[in-house]
Parts: sequence; C-alpha cells; structure tokens
Amino acid sequence: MKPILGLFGRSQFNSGWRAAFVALALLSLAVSSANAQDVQLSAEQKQKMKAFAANTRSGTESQRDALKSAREELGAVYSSYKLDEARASKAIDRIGKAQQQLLGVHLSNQVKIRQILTKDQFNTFQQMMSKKMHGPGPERAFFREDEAFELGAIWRIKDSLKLTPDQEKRVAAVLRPGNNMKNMQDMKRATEQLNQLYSSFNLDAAAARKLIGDIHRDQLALTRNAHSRQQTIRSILTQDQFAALRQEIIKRMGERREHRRPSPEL
Amino acid sequence: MKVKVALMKCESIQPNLLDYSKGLLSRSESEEIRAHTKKCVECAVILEEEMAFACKLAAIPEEKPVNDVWALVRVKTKPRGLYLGFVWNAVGIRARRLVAIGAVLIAVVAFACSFNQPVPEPTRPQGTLVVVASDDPLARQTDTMIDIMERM
Repeated sequence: MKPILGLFGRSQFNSGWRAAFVALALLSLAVSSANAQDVQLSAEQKQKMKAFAANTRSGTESQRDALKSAREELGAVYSSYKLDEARASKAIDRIGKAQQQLLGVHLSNQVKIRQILTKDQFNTFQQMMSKKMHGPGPERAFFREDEAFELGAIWRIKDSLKLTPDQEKRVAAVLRPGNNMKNMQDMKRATEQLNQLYSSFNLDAAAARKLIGDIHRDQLALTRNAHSRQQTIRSILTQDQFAALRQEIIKRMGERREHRRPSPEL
Repeated sequence: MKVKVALMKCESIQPNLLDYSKGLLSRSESEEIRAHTKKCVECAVILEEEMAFACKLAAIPEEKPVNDVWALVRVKTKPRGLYLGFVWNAVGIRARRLVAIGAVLIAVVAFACSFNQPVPEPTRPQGTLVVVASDDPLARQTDTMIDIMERM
C-alpha cells in the first residue's frame, strides 16, 4: 500500500503527469457521453410515450391472442379426417381479419410516434431501434409447426402408410413448396420495403398502405394454400392412413421437444 | 447451370438448408438450393422442418442454469493467499506510476461507460405467444418499439 500512497505525493506526481491524467479522464468522459444515445423528451412527451406504449402493447397483444385462438381452432379442425369446412372457413376469416388488424396497428403506431416526437428525436429513436434489433432475432417460420411436420411425416412414413404408386405421386406433388415459396418471398420483400418506409420521419402513408395490402394478400394466399393442401391430403389418403399420419406427427413433435428439453417436467 | 443443379447431391444441399432459410448464403448458393428444392421433395421437406424447428426453438424462453458449474470449479481451484508484493517492489518507480495511472484510468473509463450499459431485458413471460411470421411479419419491430418507449 505504501508505494501507491507515495505515488500521489507532491514530489513524485508532477504536474505533467497530472495534466495527462486529467486530459485522459476528460477524454474518456467525452467519448462515453458521445456514445450515449438518448431521446431527450419533455415531461409531456414522456407521458404521451408511456401511454402510447401501453396502448400499443394491449392492442397488439389482443390481436395476437385473437390470432392464436383462431390458429388453434383451425388446428383442431385439421386434426380430424373429416374436414368441417364451415368451421375452417370461420377460423380462416378470423385469422385474416386479425392479420389485417395487426398490420393496421403497426401503421397507426408509426403515424402516432411521428406526432409525439420531433424529427431529430425520431431519428435518435430509430438509431436506438436499429441498435437493439441488430444481430440475430427470433427465427420465425412462415407456416405452422405441425403443418411442416405433417409434410415431413408423410414423406418419412410413406412406406409404412403403404401408399400406392399413384398416391405416392400425388403426395409428392402436394409436398412441392411451389406457390408458398413465392408468397413467402414476396411477403418478405414487401415487409423489408415497409420497414424502410417506417424508418424515415416523412412517412409515405399511401405507399405503406399499398405494401400492407400486398403483404396481406400473401398472408391470405398462404392460409388458403395450407387449407387446400389439407383438402388434397384427405383426398389422397384413406382414413386409416390419415390416422397413422397423425400418430407420426405427434410422435415426431414429441421427439423434437425431447431433443431440446430433456427434463420431463418441461 | 441446369446441369450443375441437377447433379447436385442432396447430401451437399441438406447441411446448408438452415443457413439458406436464414438468408446467410451467397446469391449463387441460394439460387442453387432454390432450384434444387423445387425438384427434390425430400430437401424441400427438410427445409420446411428446419425452419419450423428454428421457430420453435426461438419461442422457448432462455433458461438459466440453477447451479453454475464453472463457479463451483473456480471455488475449488482458486489459489488462496498468493503474495504478489515482491513483484511490486521489484519494478522501478516510473513503472509503478504507469501501472497506477493505468489502473485509475481504466476505473474512470469503466465508470463512465457504465452509464451506457443497456438496462437488462425483461424476461418474456412463460406462455407468451410467438406468432408465426406470416401472421405478424412486423412483430419484432413493434415489440422493440414498445420496449424502448417503456424505458423512456
């Protein structure tokens, strides 16, 4: 301890060292404050932002809940061999409406935030957004999990399903991604363009609405394609084959869960 | 190009399918895989499964281990009561000054930078719906926006 104390004594710690030390300390403080990204908000703006965040959260969550329940309903319809078309149609309509509502919520959020923040504040906010979103985010598949497993399951157990050559040929045709891939790619492209629009303070609302229309068209097409695939699968497979397929799907989904989480309570 | 695609084997395609789905491959690699999956049902199926599985993994909340094994190992292996005073005494006064100033500067910089540390992320409550991307393609943007606004 003694040498350290001695270091700061008047005789040893001369003015040159002191000046260098102070300059470096000030420099480090300047660098750190320059890096600090913060939107300087007035008290009123802060209050508006808090209220806006709460409204947005409740709005999006209620629409996502609606989507979830509609998806579950559709999944229940698809779990039985005999398709209840009326029930499926209602669920598909609910999904479409919730998807559209969500896209509308995003747009109205973008309009509102521009009414609260100034251009400079908005630009800083955007920087914070891109910083936070930089790096890998959650992967999101463009289709339901069990739907994907269904496709894989048919192909993997085609021998035990004892498909006839004709059935096998028709199953292969169903499994081709075809239109789905195009819809997914179009939707991805439109979403990127929409994000570009949303990153600018001068929002072109008309262009945004057009892109939202394009995205929603692809969403509807994806849901319709999935439904027609369900109809086709039933037209190819017998009821027994379908039951065996469901068993395989449940088994494979269980295996995946086991693979990810070995402990039984999870 | 068509001949090349036709000759590509599933074994060389399948390991790259997940990267392909994430858009991590070069344009030419992506083109090759796209062309292949149009023709090969098995690879198309695996592609969809991989994407669905990645979605499922992303939906699972992060888990922290109950016991940090490394901390336990450190406790057992950490050297105790090692005296380093002789090192300090062996170096000259100039070196001591540099070391001390360096230590103070590091402390000042670390203190200053601590203002910029992001507030820890709130953990996603169990059972929160992670919707399918085609249902809510802008979900990540909205969630990020809400997070930032709530911290203001």
